[in-house]
Amino acid sequence: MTRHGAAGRIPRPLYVPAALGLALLLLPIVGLVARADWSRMPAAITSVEALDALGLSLRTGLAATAVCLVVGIPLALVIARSGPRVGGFLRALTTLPLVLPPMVGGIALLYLLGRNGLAGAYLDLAFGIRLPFTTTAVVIAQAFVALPFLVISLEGALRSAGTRFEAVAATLGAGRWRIFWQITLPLVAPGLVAGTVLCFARALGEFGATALFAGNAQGVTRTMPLAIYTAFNGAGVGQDSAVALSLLLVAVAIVILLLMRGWRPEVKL
Amino acid sequence: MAGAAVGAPALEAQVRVRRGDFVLDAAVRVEPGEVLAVLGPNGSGKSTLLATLAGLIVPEEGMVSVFGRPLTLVAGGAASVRVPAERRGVGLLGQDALLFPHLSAAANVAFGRRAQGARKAAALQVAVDWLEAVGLPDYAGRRPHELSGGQQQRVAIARALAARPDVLLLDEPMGALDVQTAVLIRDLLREQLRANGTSAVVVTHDVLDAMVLADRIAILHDGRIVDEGAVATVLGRPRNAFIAALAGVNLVQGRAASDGALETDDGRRFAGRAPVAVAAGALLAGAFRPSAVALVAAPAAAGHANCWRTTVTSLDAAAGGIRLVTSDGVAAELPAAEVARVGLRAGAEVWLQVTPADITLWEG
Repeated sequence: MTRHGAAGRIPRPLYVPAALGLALLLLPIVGLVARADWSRMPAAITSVEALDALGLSLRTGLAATAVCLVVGIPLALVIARSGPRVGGFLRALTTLPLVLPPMVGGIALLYLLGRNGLAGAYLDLAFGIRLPFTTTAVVIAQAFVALPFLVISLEGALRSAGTRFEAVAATLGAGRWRIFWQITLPLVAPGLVAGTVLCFARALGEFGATALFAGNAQGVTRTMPLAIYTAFNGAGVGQDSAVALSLLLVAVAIVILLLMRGWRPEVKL
Repeated sequence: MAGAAVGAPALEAQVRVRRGDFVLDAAVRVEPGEVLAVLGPNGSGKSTLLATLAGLIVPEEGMVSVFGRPLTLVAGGAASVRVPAERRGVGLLGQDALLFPHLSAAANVAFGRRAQGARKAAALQVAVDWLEAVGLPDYAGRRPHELSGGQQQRVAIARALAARPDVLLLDEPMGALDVQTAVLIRDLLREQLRANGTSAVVVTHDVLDAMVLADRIAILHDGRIVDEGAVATVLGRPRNAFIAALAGVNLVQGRAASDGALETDDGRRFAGRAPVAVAAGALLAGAFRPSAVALVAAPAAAGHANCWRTTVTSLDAAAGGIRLVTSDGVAAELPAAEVARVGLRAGAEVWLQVTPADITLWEG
């Protein structure tokens, strides 16, 4: 396991496609930065529309992440501790929103929770609750597309951590809840943090399902991606604003990645 | 512990477990403060027995009780009592230390007390005392990955004992350690088990573990306990070739001759250190160490006691020389130079001899 020896084993020609791959990922952002009109940037970013969109995105993104944590951690645990057949089946179900185009997800949500939907009609009749085109709908749409990212990464971490430490904790007298909080979760903390960050990033970037299920009303459902789309299409503030908002999202993403790298488990005595 | 009955054994179990074709059918009993070693080769059912005692496997039929408190009771295929691991009061120490990697050494040791409801400060104080007892007074704040394998196992011992289990189960506790470290950890375990009066079951395939740690020994073979008793008796006077092999001695069985020597069915004669007062024709058994066997030239007279002709079936390197096994099942350890001088190969015919002083004979 020598560090310097590893690089020598890659066939040299492979560096070319590797560099191309990196360029494919990075050059568009360079293009975005190059197109930016820096003099008008402050005004574009601090406009009411932009601040509304940023605030709404952060609020809904955090809410969706919280929802994902509350249901995603138990779901990951159930999948990880199930047998290979049940676990595999549940894992496939969980992955479904990941491979589904978000637009399809939005339509599906509409037919489930819309005013004439399977559950929506009942919610309206019984409680007077109408979800579509509300901020709650944004959170639901974001949670729908973001949940798999949390569950899949956490489930992998749980499975590789195994149950041996939990068995030891039980023989020391720890009950299920104590084991869950003090052994299971801390053991998968790196996977949990990575999954949460991915989940939040995916919620922030969510567009398709939100557009169909929640609509595009400023301050209510117009999150950053929708604001960028709206601006780019000429309505409202124009393409310069779209670029400025995009760069703002890039900045948020970079901050998230830096936070993730900076995170280390702390020593407990 | 609640419900402890006065005079009840620390551990009493009678279990039958089926795993595919393998059946474990064993009964064990440990008196308070006693250490029982369950000795057997791989595949004899040791780990299955331990997992059943720990409550990780539910037996097909049987019971496990600790100080008179029933922990597992399965009769007629129905489990009427099944106390979960965290309420059994049965500790487990395996060959891997399995220290919680996100907790310091002290927090690992304090974990059991915390789970039992102790305050943090009190539990940490207990942990610091325990770390001192296992020879790691300055390691309280260290994380497991900063400790060597032997240090990790020391912390694991402290963690297991600090939780004050009614019974401690040890599963090959020295199995993952190098030889020098194993010696130190074995001594530490002996010292701590004695000092705390811990009732324990240690399963191992290493006869040294049994000799150092245990008061009593049970031999497990193919899922059944084939012998049980004081360590010196079971290993010193092995009941069959299997136990003799575990104990590292040769076993010969036969009948008493008129002069008190042992005569085997194939005509070999073994005179022992002291004659056994039995009638001629009574069943006799004898044991001698492989290192007591010597290579000799053909004796002048046939029927010479303690000297016999045999065929070498295998040769192996062993500590201090060459270990050879003969067609009659006797193992001999000879100096390498002597084996080389004679030019021994598998299939060679040799004369072997054991002096009477090296043979213990007993009736049975």
